[in-house]
Amino acid sequence: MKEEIIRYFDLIRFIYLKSKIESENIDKLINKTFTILPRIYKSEFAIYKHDKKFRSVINKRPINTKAFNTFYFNILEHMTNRLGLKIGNINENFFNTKFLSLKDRDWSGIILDKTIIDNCAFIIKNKETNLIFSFGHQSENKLKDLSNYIYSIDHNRYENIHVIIFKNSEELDKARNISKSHIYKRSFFTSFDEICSKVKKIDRNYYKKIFSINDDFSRDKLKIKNIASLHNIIIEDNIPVGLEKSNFYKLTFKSKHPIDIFPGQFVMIDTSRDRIKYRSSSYKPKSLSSISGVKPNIYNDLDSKRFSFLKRPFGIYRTYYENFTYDCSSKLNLEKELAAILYTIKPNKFEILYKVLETGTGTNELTKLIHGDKVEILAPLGKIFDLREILNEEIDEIHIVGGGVGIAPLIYLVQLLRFFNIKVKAFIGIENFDSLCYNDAGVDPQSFTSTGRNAKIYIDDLKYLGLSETSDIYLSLLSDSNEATMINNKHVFKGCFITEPYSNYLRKHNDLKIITFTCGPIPMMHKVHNLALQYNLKSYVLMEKRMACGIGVCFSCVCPTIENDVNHYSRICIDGPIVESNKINWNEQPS
Amino acid sequence: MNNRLNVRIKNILFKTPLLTSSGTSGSRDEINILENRSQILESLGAFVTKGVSINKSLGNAEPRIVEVRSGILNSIGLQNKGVRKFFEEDVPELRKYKIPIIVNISAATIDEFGELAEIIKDTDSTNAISGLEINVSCPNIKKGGAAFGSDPLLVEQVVKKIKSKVQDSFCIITKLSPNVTDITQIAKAAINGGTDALSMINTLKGMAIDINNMKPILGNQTGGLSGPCIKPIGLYMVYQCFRNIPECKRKEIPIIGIGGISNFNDVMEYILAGATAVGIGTQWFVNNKIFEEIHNDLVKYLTGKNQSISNLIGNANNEF
Repeated sequence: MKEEIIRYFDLIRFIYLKSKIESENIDKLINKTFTILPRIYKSEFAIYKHDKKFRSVINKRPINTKAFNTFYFNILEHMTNRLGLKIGNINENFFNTKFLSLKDRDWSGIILDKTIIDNCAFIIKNKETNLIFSFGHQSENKLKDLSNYIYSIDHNRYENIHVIIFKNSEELDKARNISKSHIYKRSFFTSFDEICSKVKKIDRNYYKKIFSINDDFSRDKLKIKNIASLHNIIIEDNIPVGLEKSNFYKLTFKSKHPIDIFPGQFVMIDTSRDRIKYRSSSYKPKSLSSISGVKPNIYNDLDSKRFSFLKRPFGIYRTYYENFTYDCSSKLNLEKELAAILYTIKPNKFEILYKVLETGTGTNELTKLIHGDKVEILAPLGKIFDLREILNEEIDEIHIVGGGVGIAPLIYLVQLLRFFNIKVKAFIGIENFDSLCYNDAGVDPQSFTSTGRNAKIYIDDLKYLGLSETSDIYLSLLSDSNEATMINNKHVFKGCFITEPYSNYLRKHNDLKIITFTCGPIPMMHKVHNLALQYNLKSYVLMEKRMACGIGVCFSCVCPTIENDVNHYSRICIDGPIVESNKINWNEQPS
Repeated sequence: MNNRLNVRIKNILFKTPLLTSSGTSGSRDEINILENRSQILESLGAFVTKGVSINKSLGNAEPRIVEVRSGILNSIGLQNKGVRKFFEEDVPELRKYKIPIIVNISAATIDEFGELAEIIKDTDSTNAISGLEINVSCPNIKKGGAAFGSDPLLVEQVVKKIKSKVQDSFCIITKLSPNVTDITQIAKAAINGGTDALSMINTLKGMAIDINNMKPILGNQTGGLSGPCIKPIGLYMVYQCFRNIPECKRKEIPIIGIGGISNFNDVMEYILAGATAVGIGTQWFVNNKIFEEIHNDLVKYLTGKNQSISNLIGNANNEF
């Protein structure tokens, strides 16, 4: 009998120690144990509670990993049962089988590689994907072997993925660093706290049964710290987008250290000529036309006349993760509750889209960058808008409504939304088809042709991310174009703003629960805000303003807002760039 | 701590001569977002807050900033939450910086300045504040502002008023405007009013025009010019005051040199011209590591010369 009780005690002790919730206060731990004990043991435990010998024995017991694993496995299994997912292939080496909640699991018809079966802890089947689980407190070599093995047999199909459960968010965070990418080849990470807090959200009663409801395990969830650092980035590519007289550029850069950047957040790029380390000794790169076959920017001749001084803010258009392909989100197709507890490695390669204006000193400087140049950036900046919070809300669809270069940061938003398997509809307004085209050499070798510039920004991205061209993408063109064949004609609207088809869509689907994100010209965002009011949608804008510091000290990038009926100037760099549209003072926005 | 860098302004010991400039480093805990926050704080002798006024001030319409050659024009317009909220929300955070805090204050009338100083004295029960920097020179407030800064009599009265309210509770620093004919006249007036130290210069008045829509770019039409382009002007004004005002030359009234500092060399120029400490602002936007870089370079320079800052103040004025 005593043994049984001690097992329960082990669990409690393990949970509390690893969560660092409190120091090992034996009385508290004993009381906690008492609350989770099955009734039959309670009276006996009450006697032991004050027994000195018992206390000293349990105090010195080594941490029982198997009990710990088992305890959390049961919680995870409760969650997967509710989601209707199969869980199986339990490797008894990892568990205290006495405490496993279910003995028989439906695990028929799944044939898996023996190496995997022998080395993993258990497997969850989610549609076509096998999530192969390990515990993070196993030896690193074993994790490395399994992770690399799974990566090698999967061939970017994302049918077999490796998931590692860590004890706490600290270890989870460490694993996400790029320096670990050779160990955790393409693993996904989670922690016991992520699991607990998710279960608390989806089944409060069950959670209550296991923990006293005051035990807030979700507070040890991974919190991304909002710390901005200076990063030296290396330019990989800087190409014009659009046919003829292009004023749009796509800049790809890589950072030595990963940058944990969220959609809506931004980077400040140092475009000042005396601090950029040009690969060649003179700053003048080889002519852009030889890179792309496109006429260089018409304003390039300004370079001898103006110099940039401040850093320039840019939103992120696409991010890349070591060993992951860009279409990972759409291929995974996980249950959103399951995706919500998974983390990947931090991104280390990024793309921005920028528009070069006649008076744009900084963007003119940017056009000169070529492969190999080194630039300093400050990142990540801006308020973190955690999409995982949205996952707790009941929503049918998330809409992005973007205009021109404002679509770019929304694409990164879609990238993450799709990872969480949220249904996304895109409403995008552009000048004309030509402005979307670029040569995607090196980006996706399969679609590269020697003559064609057949990639299309935004459209290709949305397709890669699993949106259907015929039903999820709505496109408006300001000027008439002949090439309207690249997308199903039904959803291409000529000579109008995107807000027109968007308004029609909302009228037809006014029964859906929708959240809208919009970015682009102020009048467009204002219109979207009004539509959101009309249809009672939650809506957010990604605001853009002139900036100097990027960290909230200079008060330059202010946006007129209204909070509690009082007018304010909010700093977009730290109160945004994502702002609830009903906080914006739309009447005071510059036209 | 490196003693070579220590300087003293009235009763405040600055462990380095490097200060933030008002309006360029926030008024709360904004710099905590930076990874190098502790390096910044270790390199600073004091933190000078963004301007605080009695009541909340919304600030000017956007755009508030425009880049010019080697500098920026700004017209923020003293956006702040008012002194009471400042004490309630910001001061507890500022205390955590664990370096002397100097509060930049601004007001539209002499009485308002007096009232503001009194509120600060009465509210600062925890002695979080070491000094007050009087903004008699912000060019963005239509009432007062530049009018104070260019009238010696008004400057003297403002300083006298504040001094009468706070006595010796705070070190009083008067921040002078460069938008005057003879800065030494204003400096002398501030000294007559009883200021403990001077800081100079604030931004220079300037503007920029959009040649496409043919209108001034800034929402407030005009703004204050800062950045490397104003350094020779600030340097000259420090030099002038140190040379021509006996109290400055005797180092009884220390000068905080501000204006366009972008590297260690600029700092030493200001020190040699007569500054006891320096404020760094605009360039920090450009180079977020400027404080620690300058700090390291200062240590190297002073060790190499076996000198200390306090020995070098104003030495460019020495007769040859």
